Amino acid sequence: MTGRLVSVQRLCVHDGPGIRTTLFLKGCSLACRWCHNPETLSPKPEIGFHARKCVGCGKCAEVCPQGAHSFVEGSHHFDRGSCTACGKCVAACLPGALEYYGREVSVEEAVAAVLEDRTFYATSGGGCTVSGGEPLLQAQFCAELFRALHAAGVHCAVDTSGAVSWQSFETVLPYTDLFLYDVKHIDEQIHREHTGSGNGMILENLTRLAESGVPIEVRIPLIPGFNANQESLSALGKWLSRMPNIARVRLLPYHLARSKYETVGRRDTMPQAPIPTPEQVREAAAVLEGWGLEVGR
Amino acid sequence: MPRPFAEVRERLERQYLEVEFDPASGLSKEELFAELNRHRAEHPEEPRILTRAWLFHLLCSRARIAVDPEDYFVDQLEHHNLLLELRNEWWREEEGREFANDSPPAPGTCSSIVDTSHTCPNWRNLLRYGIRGLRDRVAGRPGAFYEAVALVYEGVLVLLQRFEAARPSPVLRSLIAGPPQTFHEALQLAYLYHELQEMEGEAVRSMGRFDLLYHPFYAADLEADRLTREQAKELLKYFWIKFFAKTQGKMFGKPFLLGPEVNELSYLALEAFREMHTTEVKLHLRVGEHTPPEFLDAAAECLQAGATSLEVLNDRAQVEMLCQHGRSQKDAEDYIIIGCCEPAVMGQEMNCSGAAALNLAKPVEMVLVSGEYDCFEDLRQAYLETLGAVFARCAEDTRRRERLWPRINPSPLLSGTMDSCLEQGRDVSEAGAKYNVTGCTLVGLANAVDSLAAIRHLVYEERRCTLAELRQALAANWEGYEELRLAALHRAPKWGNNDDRVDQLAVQITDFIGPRINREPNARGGVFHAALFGIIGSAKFFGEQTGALPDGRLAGTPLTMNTSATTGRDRGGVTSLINSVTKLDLSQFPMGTTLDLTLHPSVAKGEEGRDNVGAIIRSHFAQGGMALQFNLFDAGVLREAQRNPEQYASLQVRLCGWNVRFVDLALEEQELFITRAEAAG
Repeated sequence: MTGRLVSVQRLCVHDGPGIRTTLFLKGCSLACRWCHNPETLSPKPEIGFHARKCVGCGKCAEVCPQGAHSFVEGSHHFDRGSCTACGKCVAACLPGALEYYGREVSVEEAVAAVLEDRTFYATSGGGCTVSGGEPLLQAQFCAELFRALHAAGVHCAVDTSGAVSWQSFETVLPYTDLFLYDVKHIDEQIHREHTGSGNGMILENLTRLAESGVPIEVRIPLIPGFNANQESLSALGKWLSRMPNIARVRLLPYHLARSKYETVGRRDTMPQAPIPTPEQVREAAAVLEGWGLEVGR
Repeated sequence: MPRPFAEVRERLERQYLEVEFDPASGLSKEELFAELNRHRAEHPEEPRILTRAWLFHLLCSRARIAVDPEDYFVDQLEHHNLLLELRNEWWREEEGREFANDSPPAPGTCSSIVDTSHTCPNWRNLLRYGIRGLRDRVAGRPGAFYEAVALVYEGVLVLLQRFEAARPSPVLRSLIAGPPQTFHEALQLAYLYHELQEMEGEAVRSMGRFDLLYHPFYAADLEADRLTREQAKELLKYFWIKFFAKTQGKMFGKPFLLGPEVNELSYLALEAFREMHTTEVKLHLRVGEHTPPEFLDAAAECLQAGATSLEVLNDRAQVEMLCQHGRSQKDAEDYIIIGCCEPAVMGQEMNCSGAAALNLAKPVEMVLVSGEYDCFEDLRQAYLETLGAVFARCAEDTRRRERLWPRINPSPLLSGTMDSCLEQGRDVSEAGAKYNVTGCTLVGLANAVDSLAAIRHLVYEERRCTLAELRQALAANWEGYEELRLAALHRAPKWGNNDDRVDQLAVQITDFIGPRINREPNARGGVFHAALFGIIGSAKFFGEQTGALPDGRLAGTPLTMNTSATTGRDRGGVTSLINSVTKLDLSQFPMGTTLDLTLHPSVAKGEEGRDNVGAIIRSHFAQGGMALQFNLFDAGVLREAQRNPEQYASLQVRLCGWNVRFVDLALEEQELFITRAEAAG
């Protein structure tokens, strides 16, 4: 069994309790405009290009079987259309301007990587989080990873958009200690406009998950021009206030990651809005607290 | 009457810059010098310890003084560094004679000095007996040593009387009469003693176990309603600011130790430290099984507030290590930190931690130049043998220097605090202390490990180049070999990423050199003790004399310090760095070791962040780590500080063993911190 990973990040302190190792899995079922991990959107492997690090040595062009890399007057051009993500150019790129997103990793390898930091989990009450992308698109991999980690006493969390089949939840449920569950908007139409999908399955899955008894932390990305207003938040708060088993709600203020879009050659869809001020975040929290929800900062 | 600290801080910071000594209060430099010359001419055969004691007494009784009515303390004596000048004269003379016909060791391999400047007097005796009591302990005993000790303490009494005459005060009267009775008196005595010992020629590199030693005074004052908690904090701030005022933040930080058992004063000290936000007082915190979690929380709050001039120590591991290396259990439990991170028994040890230093990277250069190796294993073996030979030479030079010490800098004031010196009638320079070890510091661990790993990777595994080609590339300082250098930098594995194959090289180096150092005899009846921390001076000095290295480093640039990874190469982050470092048997480094961590402020923010910091410390300790120090900042803030230094005047960063203000660093040094901060966030 293997999973497709973008990266393994250690000393993560915002992905659940304590100090955690977070695995970012590749592929997502939504396409949120504000996505700050655009390299995780496509389920297929792809090559990232960090223009700043390119020294123009031309090695990538030499080794590429597809001729996807070329140099025009010393400046690098990357034809993503013909790229098959074979990774030969990444291996040849010494300055590290090219990066491979979507390495295939066995469960054993992933477990070993996570267990390296087990002392830190023990002292901090931390553990492992799968994130992405949408990790539950690779639910079987997550389940096997978690099963092994559970056997080693490691706390396991899933950071999900909820936009997957209920079956995927059932696959990981026996080994999951915490769900970090994104809920973005209560209005179906607005949700579809900004994320590419409706929210029906998301809300339905959350309703079912809330009955499972596994603690849930609901996460709301606070996005100007989308849900960062009294009306949207209040509607969300009202709906959430009826859910059992929600340990807390956490606001994730919008932040910029424009350069990452360039790296993976995607059109930048991030809103042209300033990041929320601390005051705006406090106000948003107050709206949710008005519905009796505990809001973590 | 002194005003509130916060109101006069700026003036206090300048208190030693604008001193006006009253000419009527004593002799000028020329007059003092003439007195000294007359004395030396009249006593040509006098033992040097007595000449020094005589000069010490002269300065105390005849040099000019100043008192500041708006300070809680008096300490201004215009001594013109005459004792240091005399020492330096003898130093040049003795070294010149000893090493006249020697060829020095190969440049950049090692260094050795007579280290008179890593000391911790016996603060317990000082507070218990007072100046008069210490004089009385030796009064009338025959021999040059006892005479010298009696003379210097007599001098201090005279000085106290002069101060008292200039500014009558019950504090000074009490100290003239006997041991200190109050918190104020204890601090006055400690600071004055500190100044006088440094005047004598031995830097005070530990102010002792502060909460343990001073709590009885503090508690008695509170009990008797002589002092409030707030007043005690004011006194402490007036006391601590002096260390900054003395050096203007350009020195190593004055170490004060807290814990592992804590009391009211421990918390008061942390509070004052956090509020003061100073670089020049350095706190070492012994954190043991019985240290309450609230204490660690309070320390983490200092870090959060940017008061990062503190180091946390794994108390159990430190005590066990000291026991393994010759100290009794009871003495080991009474350890303090001398200087950066060197554990030593308080007031009973001369550890001379700065005496010897080895450049771990240089032997890589030497083995590359000298031969061909069929396999990496042969090269690695040659590296270790070369390192061993470099240390043998270094040890011999250091011993020869140590033997000169009694003729350079006998130290009656310092010796007079130590029981063992008084029992044996021997000065500290003649091994009078109970424990006499000699430090040998290892610099450039990451450079050595990364270089060996790079050779293995580039030459013996990937076969990107031959050894001869690599040699050429290094001789050209990588010029014309950019591609190979990129491979060395980005493809060869690096220390500090929990990559076992690289980390084992570090284990092999430290397992080889640590024990070898620790069994090597010094010239004072003890042994050398290995240290795995860097001194910025040697990292720079050795770096200048080290050519380009296989790890991609350019010739002449500073070497790595402590157990740190090469700047920016620990891509796996803090947890991986800790996992790498704790693979080493750190108890092989009884002269101390430390690890610098750079954390992004978001990791340490708020209550959860405080817990994270605590968890990182506990994880490090659980895996056998010895000591940790922290930098908390993001790269953006540092860039901003670089552009607008005046707005960030108080931003502190950790520079190996001590803190400095970021804006005081050279541009090149600032860049290193920014690289680290970028990697952290």
